[in-house]
Amino acid sequence: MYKSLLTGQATTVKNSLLSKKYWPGVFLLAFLFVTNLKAEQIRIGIIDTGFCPTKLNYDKGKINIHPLFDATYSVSMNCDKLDKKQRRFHGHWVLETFLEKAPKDMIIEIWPVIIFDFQAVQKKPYWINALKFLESKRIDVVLSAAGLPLTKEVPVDLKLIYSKFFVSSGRAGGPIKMDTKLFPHELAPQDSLYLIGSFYPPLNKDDYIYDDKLLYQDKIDYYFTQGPIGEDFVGTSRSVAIGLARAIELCPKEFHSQKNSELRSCLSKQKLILKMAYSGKLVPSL
Amino acid sequence: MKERVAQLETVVKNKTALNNAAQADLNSKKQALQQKRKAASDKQAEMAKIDQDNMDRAGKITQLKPQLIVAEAAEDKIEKELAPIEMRIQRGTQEFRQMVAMREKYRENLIREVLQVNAEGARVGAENGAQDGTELAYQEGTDNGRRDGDRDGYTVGTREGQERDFRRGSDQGDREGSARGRSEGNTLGSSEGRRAGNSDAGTIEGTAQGRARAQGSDAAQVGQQQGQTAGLDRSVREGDRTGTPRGEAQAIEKYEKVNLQSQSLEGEFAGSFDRRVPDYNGRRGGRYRTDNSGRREILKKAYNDGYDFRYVEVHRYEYLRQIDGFYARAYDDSYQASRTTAYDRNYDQHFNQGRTEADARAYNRDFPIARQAAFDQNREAFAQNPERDSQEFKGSFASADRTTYSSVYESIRSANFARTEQETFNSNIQEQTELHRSKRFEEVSKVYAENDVLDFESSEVIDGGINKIAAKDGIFQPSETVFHNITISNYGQKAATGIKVTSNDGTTSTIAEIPARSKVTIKGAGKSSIPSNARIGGSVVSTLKVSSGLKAEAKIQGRHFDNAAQGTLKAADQKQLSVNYPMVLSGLSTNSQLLLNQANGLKISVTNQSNRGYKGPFKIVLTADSNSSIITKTFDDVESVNGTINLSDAKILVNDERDIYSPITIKAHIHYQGVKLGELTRELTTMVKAPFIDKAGKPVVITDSDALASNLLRTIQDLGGISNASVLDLSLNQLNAQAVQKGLQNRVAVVVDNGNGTVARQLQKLMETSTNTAFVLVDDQMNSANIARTLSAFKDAIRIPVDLKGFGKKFDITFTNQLRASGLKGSNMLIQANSSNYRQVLALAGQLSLSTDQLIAKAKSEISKGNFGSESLTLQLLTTKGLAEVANINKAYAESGGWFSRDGKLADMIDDDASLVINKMKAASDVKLSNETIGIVLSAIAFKDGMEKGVSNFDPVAKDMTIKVRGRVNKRLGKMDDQYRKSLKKFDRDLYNKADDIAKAHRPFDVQESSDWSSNDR
Repeated sequence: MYKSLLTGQATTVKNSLLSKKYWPGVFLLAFLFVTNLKAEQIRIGIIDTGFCPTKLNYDKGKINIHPLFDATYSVSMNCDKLDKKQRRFHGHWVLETFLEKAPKDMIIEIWPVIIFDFQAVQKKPYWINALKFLESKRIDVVLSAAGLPLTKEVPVDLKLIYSKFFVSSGRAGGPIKMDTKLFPHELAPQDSLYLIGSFYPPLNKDDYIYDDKLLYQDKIDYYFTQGPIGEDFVGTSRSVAIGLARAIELCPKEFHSQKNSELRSCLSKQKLILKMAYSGKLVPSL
Repeated sequence: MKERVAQLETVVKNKTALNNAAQADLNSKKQALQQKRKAASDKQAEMAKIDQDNMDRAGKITQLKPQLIVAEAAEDKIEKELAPIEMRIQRGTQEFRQMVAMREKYRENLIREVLQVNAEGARVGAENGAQDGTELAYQEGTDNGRRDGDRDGYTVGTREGQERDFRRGSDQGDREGSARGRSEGNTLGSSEGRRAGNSDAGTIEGTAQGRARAQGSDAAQVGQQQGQTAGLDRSVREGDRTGTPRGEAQAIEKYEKVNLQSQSLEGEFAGSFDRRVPDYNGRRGGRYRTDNSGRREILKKAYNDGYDFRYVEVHRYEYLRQIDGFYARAYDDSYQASRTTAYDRNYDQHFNQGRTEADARAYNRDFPIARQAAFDQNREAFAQNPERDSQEFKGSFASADRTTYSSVYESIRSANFARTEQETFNSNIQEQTELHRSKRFEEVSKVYAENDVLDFESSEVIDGGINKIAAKDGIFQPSETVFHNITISNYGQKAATGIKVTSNDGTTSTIAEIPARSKVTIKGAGKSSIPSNARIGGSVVSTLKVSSGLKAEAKIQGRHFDNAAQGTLKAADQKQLSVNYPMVLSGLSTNSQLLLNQANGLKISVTNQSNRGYKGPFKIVLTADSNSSIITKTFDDVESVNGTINLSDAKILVNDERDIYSPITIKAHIHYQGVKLGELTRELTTMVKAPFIDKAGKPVVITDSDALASNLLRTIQDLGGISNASVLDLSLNQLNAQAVQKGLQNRVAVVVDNGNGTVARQLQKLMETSTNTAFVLVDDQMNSANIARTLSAFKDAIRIPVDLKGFGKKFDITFTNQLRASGLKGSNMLIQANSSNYRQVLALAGQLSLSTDQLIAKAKSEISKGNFGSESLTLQLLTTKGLAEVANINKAYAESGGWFSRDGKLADMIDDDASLVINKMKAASDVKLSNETIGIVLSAIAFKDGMEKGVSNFDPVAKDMTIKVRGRVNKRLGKMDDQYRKSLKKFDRDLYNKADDIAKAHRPFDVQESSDWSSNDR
């Protein structure tokens, strides 16, 4: 018996969820609904050169890409010239790769951040701005296919925030040398920091080839393919996007845990070992 | 190889076909042979038969023998033909088997060869792949490295060059801006400083002169003090003005003159990890070559497969192994060259930009400092060596001199003034005091010597009586004269005359003389009176004013006056006087309850409350507000009154009915020779009771006047006075016993009660002796009827809730049941009312108390065809009373015994008792229908409707109705209806059709048309 809010009349509810016999089911559904909500959400910050979200195809019902944050306060994106050969759009391809590989049933909030200024240069203040911004958004993980080149030790005012970090290990090439120091790589190993390397894809079935020009080889946590032969966008930038998508698919709840060891443990249980052709090197992947 | 095999296969195939053909031929031949053989056999059989028949056909044997020979010959021929074929077949089969064996062997050889060729192809492919891979890595690495290095070097070199030139420009701009700022600042500061210095000097010197002048005119000292204060204030101001901008300039210099460190890492988007070194693109090199020799295809294919597989594998591997090295070398070389080239360029725009910005910055930074420094320096210098002809010097000099002089002078002056004034006062005060004292003494003495000097000391009041009666008894009574005695002192050496005394009523008297140097009490100096309408027990204020003229200095002669200027010695000498009579009358009462026509006595007390005895004779006067004269004897005269005396000799007799049960107020007062000396403190209000006097047609007011006197009087007044009501006072038990015994018949009784049923509880006897009387119980708690119903007279009384015309809401009418309550002469009605509505109820009660015949006659005269549709109170009351009677009979019947032992005679009353309403109505409606009699017929129809519904559906009646009684009632009503129903139909068909519906309007209750209670009958 309940009182109608509309009429004030007392009435008896028949054959509805409010009947007592349905209460256990209702509670179960509510519990599952609530717990499901928590497990299926993730907040990601992506730090790179630039992005053109309007040019991306993704499920807008599940994925929300927030407006760009320019940590350099100097960049103006011209997305009409979107091109895989233009490094200003490097971040866009990283994001695209992640969206292609990300679990389809998750609710994902993404905050893209630019840290290369109008002169294509990174500076410490930009990274500080970027990390502060992402911290304010309470993100779960930072995805970065970039690192800040350092001349000496990591400055004391440049620190990681509380979230997890998935960072591509980088490889030598151009201005980056094998002994180049980078932030946040120099801080590895850390529970919250994952360096992701890459390998060359097999020609046949399993002839992976190890890339010995990767940076921080002794600190890399997991390896993924650098991308198909002939693709314009390949390398550790691509592998870190694939790696984060895979990690989220395997251990979604652990990304919310404040204990970084929980994610490490979960991923570790599900890793697989790949044998590289020629070198015989064994590398972990997911 | 393949062709060979194909050829062999073709041969085999042909052979096989041949073989098959031969075989088929053989088979057919065999078959033919068999057929032949069969035929032969048949023939033989036939022959046998023929032989058998030969016996019979011996003649035919010779004819058939050649045929036999021919057949046998044919058979031989066939066999001969088959033999080679069989031999060919056997030969072909052998050849086939040989061919198969050859093929197998060929195949094995081929496979071995393929593998060899394949391995060779792989080896060659690997070699070529390695070389091509290296070449590709070199080409790609070199091209991309050169391109990227060139681009990155250019970008970095350009940026660094721009920064370098920007810095150079900034440095130059800084120098230039600083120089210009210093120069201009110096110029401006010098000019300002010069003026400031001259001004300072002028100020200083002017100040000094002013000071010296002031000091020379005895103001120097003050000037010095003022100068010190001003100098201290200025130094604080000057320090703030100089220090603040200097600190600011120093802070800016600290942070802006240091060079920034440039970054050591170069390159466009350095730090983003897209792959720079070109990835393997799978493009094959020039050495890639598949086998196009004349080898068999299969071998070619084997070779090419091996070649391809290893070529690609090693090609890629070598590429990846070497690409970074080639790329890095090319990148670095190109980067350096490009960077250097770009760096070495001139970037004029950046230079100019840096120069412009730094110039402005440096200028803004250094100008104020230079200006300030020049200012300070020049100021100090010119302050030391001023240009005395300059405007600023002259101006500041004059100003400082003037200002300094004024202030110093004033300071010295005010200090000297204060000191001098004090000294002078101290030396002159004594002498001046004595001089002024002696002069004044002479003046005042003259006033006393030559005049009166009055002072109002005191006063008292004395009651003067009325025409000298009641004088000096200490009581001030209305209209009494009041004498005022006053005491005045005269300090002068002359007598005072013409002193006026004025009372508050305006009366003025004059005091002839008050001797010099005396204190005099003047008795009766003033006279006034107590107002005639002064309230006994209240007070009045008596005010006296005393006036006297002044001839000398008012300040002296009139020093005791309230208002010397107006000559008022005493403005208002007030006395508050209590008003009363010297005697008071109290305790006026009758000896007993006043009763109509019964003489009674009066008594009273007289008290002398004055301060003296009184001697009479005093007369006591009695007055009453009755309709008739009721005081038959007043009190005897009183000779004297000392203290209190009691009198009881007055008489009172009420013999006029107009004076009963109405308030009578008796007043009294005492007088002497017409002068009232006292009155009754509390009037006597009383009531004269009387035994019941029946006034026909008037309601009977029943109450207990001892308990509810005021209610009774109010009710009688509401009814229009005692002439409109008969009073049955239950407090007069004895006197009204007979009336109670007689009871009331067909009357309306208003029972004045309270919520406790004080009167209701006393109604038992009256209920027993009264008949058809409507008792309206009036109390505002609406409870007395409930109490009355507890009396035995109300045993099994029927209580009917009615909804009557004109009443708006339902109320109950209780009908006593004389068949059930013992001692009842007949049925009476009981209705509860209150003081607000009882008059309306009385009107109803009036109708209710009409006899049945009277009600029926009323209905007959009131109801017509035209107004039958309008609700009729008369018809409602008839129905109500009819139902009550039936209900009472029903109750008596039901209680008379069990189901089978009830007293049927009670039920028979329905038919037999002609006094019942139902029967009277039946009798009255048994008429010949006409326009004159239609009213009673319609009344009967309405009555029937109400009765039928009442006994069947009206719950208060129907629920207890027995089957028998209901049946009797319905039957009786049916008979009544039979009297007029047919004639009505003929008389007025329309009315006949509608009458029953219209009749419902006259029901005294609401009822739903539900099923009857027959199932619930007991």
